[in-house]
Amino acid sequence: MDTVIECSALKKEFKINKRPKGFLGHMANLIVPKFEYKQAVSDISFRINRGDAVGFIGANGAGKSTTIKMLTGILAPTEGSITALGVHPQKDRKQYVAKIGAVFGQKSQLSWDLPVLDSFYLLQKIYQIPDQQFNQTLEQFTDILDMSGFIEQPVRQLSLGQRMRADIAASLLHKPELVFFDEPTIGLDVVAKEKIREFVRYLNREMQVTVIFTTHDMQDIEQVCQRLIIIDKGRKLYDGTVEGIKSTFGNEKKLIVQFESPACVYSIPGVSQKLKPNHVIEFSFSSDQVAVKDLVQALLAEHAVLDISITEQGIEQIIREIYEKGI
Amino acid sequence: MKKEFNFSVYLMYTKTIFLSKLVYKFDYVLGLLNTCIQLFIACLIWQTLYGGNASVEGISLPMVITTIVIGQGLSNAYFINDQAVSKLIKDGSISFTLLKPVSFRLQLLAEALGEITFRILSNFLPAVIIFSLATDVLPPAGVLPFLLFLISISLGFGVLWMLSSIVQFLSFWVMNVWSLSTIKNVLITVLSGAVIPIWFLPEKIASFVSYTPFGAIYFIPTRLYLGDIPPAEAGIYFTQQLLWIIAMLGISHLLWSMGKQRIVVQGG
Repeated sequence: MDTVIECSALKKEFKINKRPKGFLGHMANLIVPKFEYKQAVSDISFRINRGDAVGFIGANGAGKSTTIKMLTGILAPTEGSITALGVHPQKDRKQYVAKIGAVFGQKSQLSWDLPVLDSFYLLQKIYQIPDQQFNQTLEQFTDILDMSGFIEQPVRQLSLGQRMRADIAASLLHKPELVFFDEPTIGLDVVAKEKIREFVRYLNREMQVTVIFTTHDMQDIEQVCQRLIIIDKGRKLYDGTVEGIKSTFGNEKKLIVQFESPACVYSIPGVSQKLKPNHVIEFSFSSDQVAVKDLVQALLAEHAVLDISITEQGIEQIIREIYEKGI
Repeated sequence: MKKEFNFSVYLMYTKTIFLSKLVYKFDYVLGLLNTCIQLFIACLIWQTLYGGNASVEGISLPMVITTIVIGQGLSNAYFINDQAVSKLIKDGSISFTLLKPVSFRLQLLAEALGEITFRILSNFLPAVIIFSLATDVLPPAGVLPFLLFLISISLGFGVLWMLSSIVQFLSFWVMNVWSLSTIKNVLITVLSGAVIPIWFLPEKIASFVSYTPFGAIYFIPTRLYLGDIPPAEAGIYFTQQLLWIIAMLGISHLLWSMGKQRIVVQGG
């Protein structure tokens, strides 16, 4: 398949001035500054193919944004190499950025005081988009992103959801082959989020745009991305399909059983028990060590059971455990 | 792939800034008033210093006034924000700037030219007309000197721009370039001949100035205008201006290539 991005052994170090406390410390720092190096990204390698929709997740400060900024050519990696769309993102910046788009949920590229449409015209000039193509794309986006109500208003009067949609349209007017979305759903309500997901899905599936998506919302990932990369402390923890993570890490199941009367169940190897009110016992086990069928049969054979339910771990829970404990 | 240079994009940046300046009419009236007051005070001082003498050291009063009006008038019009890059770095908007398929350095220049064109039209030229009517501003020494002046003043702006771009790109290392910018501006004010024509500087300082780029900004063009430099010698001075531009472009290019490796995007 066609490779869009290939990066190997990416590393980014930031130099941080370490100031001692107090007035004297500040003074001492002026004369003999002390620095320490913080590794935002320590060692990340991956390859992304054309048409992929890749979710990039990680806790705050895990190095997601830094990685995205290196991939877009804004930051220079301290070590390691990136080839994207066949070029070096920073050395061939002008050539590269003409073919990519980037949306940052926390910042807007639109001019604060100008109507949305004026910012779009500015972008048309910058990217030298032919009139016909521009009008066609604009019409299409106005329709899908439902922008007709606010396209002539100044950006400062828009709601966050509207601004985000305008920002997304702005970074896609030049029909990029590769688009980075850095937390595009941050701070949005459920409906606004859904609109954005729908649009990104459309972009990826219908228009074959390669999408890289960072977010803290697992539903974004489940609905938009096929592939998931988890980053933690500057390292890649997981790289694979979204379903894969469920089967790899989400094999813990819970069997919740309500007994007729207080029951005492002998400990079963591989199964932990938790006593809950109303004669309920919660059994946790790993599905590849213990078969549900055997456990249920054993329980039914010895006890009077009122109710049984089984829960599986959701992706959110899996990710939380990965962030907290690591793999 | 061939790197395409598209002039119209940069022209658009210039135009956008130019048009945005038209909005602040009051600002423009005050700017003109400010320039006129400054030039008026300078003219008064020189008139007093001359004390009725026709010429001092072979330099006539109208020559000095012409130098002042061109040098100081233009320096008011040449509004260059040395902190443009440092502001982009501080508020993190440099990431959007770098995400556009546009040369960053040419964009900076194009935007500065938008403001400067506005100020020359709204500020410098009216002031020149007012002072030509009110005082003894000399006309150019001839058609040829005037054309040479136009070439030389453009080169002079190049020198000024390169000086500024060095300061601007230092903000990759020093987050706050305000003090550097102030030092640069003071040196320009004192040594460029815009306030005190270089003819009157003590010999030692004058010969020092000839080894710096400062005299190449306003003073060489003004001397060509007055015919103080014979047109036949213009080539030497153009070369001098060009060499300064090339040398400083080299430094500025080096700073930019090293500096962009150090870009830190602040605030997430």
